[in-house]
Amino acid sequence: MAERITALGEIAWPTLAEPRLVLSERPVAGAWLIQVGADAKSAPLEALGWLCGFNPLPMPLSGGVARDSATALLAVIAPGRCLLVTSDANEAAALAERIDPDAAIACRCQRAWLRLDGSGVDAFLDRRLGIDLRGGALAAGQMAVTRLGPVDVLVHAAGEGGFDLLPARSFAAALAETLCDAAAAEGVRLAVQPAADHQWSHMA
Amino acid sequence: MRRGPWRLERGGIGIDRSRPLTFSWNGRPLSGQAGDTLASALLANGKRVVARSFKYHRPRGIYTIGSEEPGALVTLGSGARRDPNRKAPDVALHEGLQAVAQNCWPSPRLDLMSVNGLFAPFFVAGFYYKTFMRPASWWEPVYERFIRRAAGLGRLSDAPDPDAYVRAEASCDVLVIGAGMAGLEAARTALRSGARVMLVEERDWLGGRLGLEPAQVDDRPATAWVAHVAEELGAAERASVLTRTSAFGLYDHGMVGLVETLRPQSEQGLARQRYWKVRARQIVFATGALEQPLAFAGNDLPGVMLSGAVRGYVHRYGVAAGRRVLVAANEGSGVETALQLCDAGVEVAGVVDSRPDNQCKPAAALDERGIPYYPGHALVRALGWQQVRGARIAPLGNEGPMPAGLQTIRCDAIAVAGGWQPALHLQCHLGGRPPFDPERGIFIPPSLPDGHHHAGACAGVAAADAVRQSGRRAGADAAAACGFAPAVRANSSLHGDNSMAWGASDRLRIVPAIDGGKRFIDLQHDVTVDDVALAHREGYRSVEHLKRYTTLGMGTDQGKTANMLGLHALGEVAGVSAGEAGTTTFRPPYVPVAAGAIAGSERGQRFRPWRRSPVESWHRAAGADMITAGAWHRPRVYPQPGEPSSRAVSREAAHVRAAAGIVDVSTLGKIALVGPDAPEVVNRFYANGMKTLPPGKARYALMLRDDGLVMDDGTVARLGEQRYLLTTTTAHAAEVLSRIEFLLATAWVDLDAMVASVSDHWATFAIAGPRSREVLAAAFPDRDVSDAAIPFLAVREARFEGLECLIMRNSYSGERAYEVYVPADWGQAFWERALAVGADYDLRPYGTEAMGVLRIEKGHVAGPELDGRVTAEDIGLGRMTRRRKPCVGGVLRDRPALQAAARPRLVGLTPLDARAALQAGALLRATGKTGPEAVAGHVTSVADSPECGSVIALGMLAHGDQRHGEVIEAWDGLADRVIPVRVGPSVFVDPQGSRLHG
Repeated sequence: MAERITALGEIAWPTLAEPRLVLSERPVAGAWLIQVGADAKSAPLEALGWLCGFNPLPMPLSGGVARDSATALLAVIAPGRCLLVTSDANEAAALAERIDPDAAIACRCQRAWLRLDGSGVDAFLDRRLGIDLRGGALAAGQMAVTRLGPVDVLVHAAGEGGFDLLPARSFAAALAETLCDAAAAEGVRLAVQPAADHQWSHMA
Repeated sequence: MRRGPWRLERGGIGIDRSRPLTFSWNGRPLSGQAGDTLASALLANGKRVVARSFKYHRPRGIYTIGSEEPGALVTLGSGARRDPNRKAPDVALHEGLQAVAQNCWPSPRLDLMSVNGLFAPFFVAGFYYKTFMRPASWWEPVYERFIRRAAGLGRLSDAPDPDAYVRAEASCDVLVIGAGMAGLEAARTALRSGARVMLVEERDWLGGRLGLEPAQVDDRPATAWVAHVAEELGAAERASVLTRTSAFGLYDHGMVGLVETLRPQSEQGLARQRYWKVRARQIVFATGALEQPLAFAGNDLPGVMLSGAVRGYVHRYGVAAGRRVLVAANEGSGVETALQLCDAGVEVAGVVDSRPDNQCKPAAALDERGIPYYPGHALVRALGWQQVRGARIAPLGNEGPMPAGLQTIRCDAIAVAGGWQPALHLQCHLGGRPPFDPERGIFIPPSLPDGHHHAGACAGVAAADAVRQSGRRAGADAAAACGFAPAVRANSSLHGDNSMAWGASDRLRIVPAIDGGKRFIDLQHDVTVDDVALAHREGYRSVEHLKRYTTLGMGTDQGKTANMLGLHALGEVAGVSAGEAGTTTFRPPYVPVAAGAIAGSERGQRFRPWRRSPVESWHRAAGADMITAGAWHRPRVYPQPGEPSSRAVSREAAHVRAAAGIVDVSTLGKIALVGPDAPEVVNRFYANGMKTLPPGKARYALMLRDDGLVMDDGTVARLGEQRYLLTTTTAHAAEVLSRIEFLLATAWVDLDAMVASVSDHWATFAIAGPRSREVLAAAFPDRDVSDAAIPFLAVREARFEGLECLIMRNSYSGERAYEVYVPADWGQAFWERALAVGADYDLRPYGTEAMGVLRIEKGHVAGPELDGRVTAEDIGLGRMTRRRKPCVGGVLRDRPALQAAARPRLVGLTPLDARAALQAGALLRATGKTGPEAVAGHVTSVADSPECGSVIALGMLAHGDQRHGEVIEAWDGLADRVIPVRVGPSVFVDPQGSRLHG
């Protein structure tokens, strides 16, 4: 079996005992950019959402809205455009069969899927982004297209207090380095966990 | 007169007498107290001369008590941490601090360069515009070296800054800048109204002037009031208070730049400073006011100090500026100064007040304390050599000071009370000029967009009660503007006199000289009253010219204690008021900001985000010589141990033509295009005909700009009826995607298609060479890779370890070649597998240099040729395009100038000397011709071709198509070299293209 090396897996990150924050990487089993609109094209999206456990999926989806489950993330990232990402191989297979390849762009490895969790993650990330997190500018379930340091990134406020960060794959390590630098400078213990370092169910 | 230590036995609310600190000054150990600044500690140790001035090397002492300090500039630290031009009052004392005086040798008291003062009559303002002219050849070897040695402030370390810095963002409802009384009231009011508040203060304590003199607020000591407010703010989740934080810049849309000093230097990776970008819905400026000096002869002597600073050193740090202090004033705070000093145990030699007798209301307390009072008098000269030893005063008549009434007063310090000026620098950063209030004789805040408020002294408010109210009102207004119900309390009384009078608008600021003597305006740049008059005589009459000609206000203090005095001096010679003279433009930063703070962690290798290819770690481990290509790091060549790079490049290129090579081209731009109108999109976007491209085929494609010139080249692969994969060059990937998105959103809204970058999704490798098909077959054992299955320019799906991949047969090298697209997470796995199975066919990796050699041998254009100035015809691709097809750039490509026969055309160039050092960028001209008119083109790309056994090149040459066989010159003016070259076809190897199918 060919070895899979994810974006953060290319680098040997220092180990850190008792980190306060953890940046972990989720291996993507499938990802698609899907064109959406107010017309019948929404129906296939609803079906896709059902496959991911988003039932019901509030239609029409407005910009910045995201839904997430334990394994999937669906978000409107631009007018008329949705990003659907899953870390579950079975889900990915079911979606691949359902999604019309002429109406969506398969982009499994285009973005890295990172999750930043831990004590004080709101305050730490608030200082890294131009989004007023502490002021509620990104409520749980919302997604924003923004920049973290010099790296463009999609940021999703996950319901349980963490944040999903989805940079382009080639920039993922740079994003992690930016976070590590800021954490070190502010005395925050932040650990980086590439996808290979922790167990995810249904890894592809 | 008190002798002995300068530290007073009582007072010093800001120091902890139980915690002594040791620091070094000019290499000698001294002691201070916790809470001291470097300035207060130096004063406490009797150090009066702490620096030398910029031009004349005159002795300089401590003049102020804040960041407006013009003269006491010191260098902290040593080695890589050497930090010059720090203002002594602004440096918090800590254990082990190292500080040295600047601009002097061997010491500030004995400075050999003070001989400059002897040449003062020659070193007037602007002297350097009239000297050092002849002989002109002396400028660099003599004049410039001398000037650089003689002048300058401080010396930077040229070692990398070892400290860490961090950048941060913040948002708030109300940002309050300045934590004096007005700022504290504004912040508290806004907080109580429900707003999220940030309060920033450049000092490490709150209270502003309340912390510098005895005062009462609400019937209690001011310090207690400050602590109470600070506690309320500190306990509130919606409030954050940052001390040791300077607001250095005001920008559009409520953006403010702050720099917060966290610690004197980094420890264990912790940042020294934090650079903030704050977005505030409302901003309250509570920046206070800056005390202004007086200009009299000798006013730059160490021992002359602003009166507010003298009071502050006594009250906050328990330090006396002198043993016997004379106060010189033109407004009421001079009396207040004398009273406070006397009550603190400092001997006061007298109060010299330039106001006429009938305007003065001398406090009876002066009499009670036996302090001599001289109303209607002016201090005309400070006496002393390196520090104040006395002063001469004279009564003021209608014509000015009357020499007949001269008196000499013995003193060793002079406290100068010249009035106040609101601190407005930050408020002017948006480009506004502050208007002048002739009644109060001050400049007041400029008009600003909504969302900016002013409170306290910076708003022109003087009386204490009014200051408090203005703070509350500003906080309430700011909160209301954010949609909160404002919480404003009723007036409360204030005990103690904290008032600060602006003084009469026509008060005496510039004392006429008796018997000559320099009257300084700008202590840092040695600009005098006479310099202002000289500039005016020489025609530099506007304040902007005055500034640049004299360098008034151009020092590290931005003229905070000089600009107003300079305007009045200009007004005197020009016969206008200071208001009519106007101010210069205040620009960020308000205080110097370390470059490290601006950079944050984006330095060294992190200067730009490092974009990693899926196989980059393999390349490095294999010993590749890497090169940066934008944000990517690419393998340039894989030299064997001890092998010169140039030889390795030739080896790699030759090997590709002889056997097989694999190169990582994952950095190429890849764009997915899908939708019912995807075929129409590609047909409109590219200059080639695309309607006939069937699924499963690819085509080399040319993109034009709107103006008809070539933007980029790439390939278009049709994967399905409505699915395409577009490739671009690495450099133009973002631009091409952006262009298509723009067109779909604007001009082509009728088209139903979606486009997105998949550059990072696919790891891409080119396998090239005569044995490339065999390698491909080994890498994809379950796939038919015959010519029938994958003909030239075909694109096919394949599977690697069950993963969907693509194989496209095209060629950049002119050899049989295949591009393999693998999902990026498995990119390295495929690369290693290909090399492993390809070993049987002598597959080896090659880098970007060899790739360049191969494409130049084949005459394929790349970035150096596609420089934004060429048409499709210029580079020999005109026949590939469809002239009658509407496409981007299709109309303007037919402009006559783009069709001119004399346009440069792509040619091949072979030097007559096969080993000639031909360089890209060399200009082409006919043999023997010289001059700009002779230039007919330039060399674009050069390669040492193993296949041709010679250096070869591509170039753009006027009439190039008709000049094949001609010998011309490649002229390199920088290297002063002329190389004869023969013009020929741009394809050097296999012009028939037979190797593509070999």
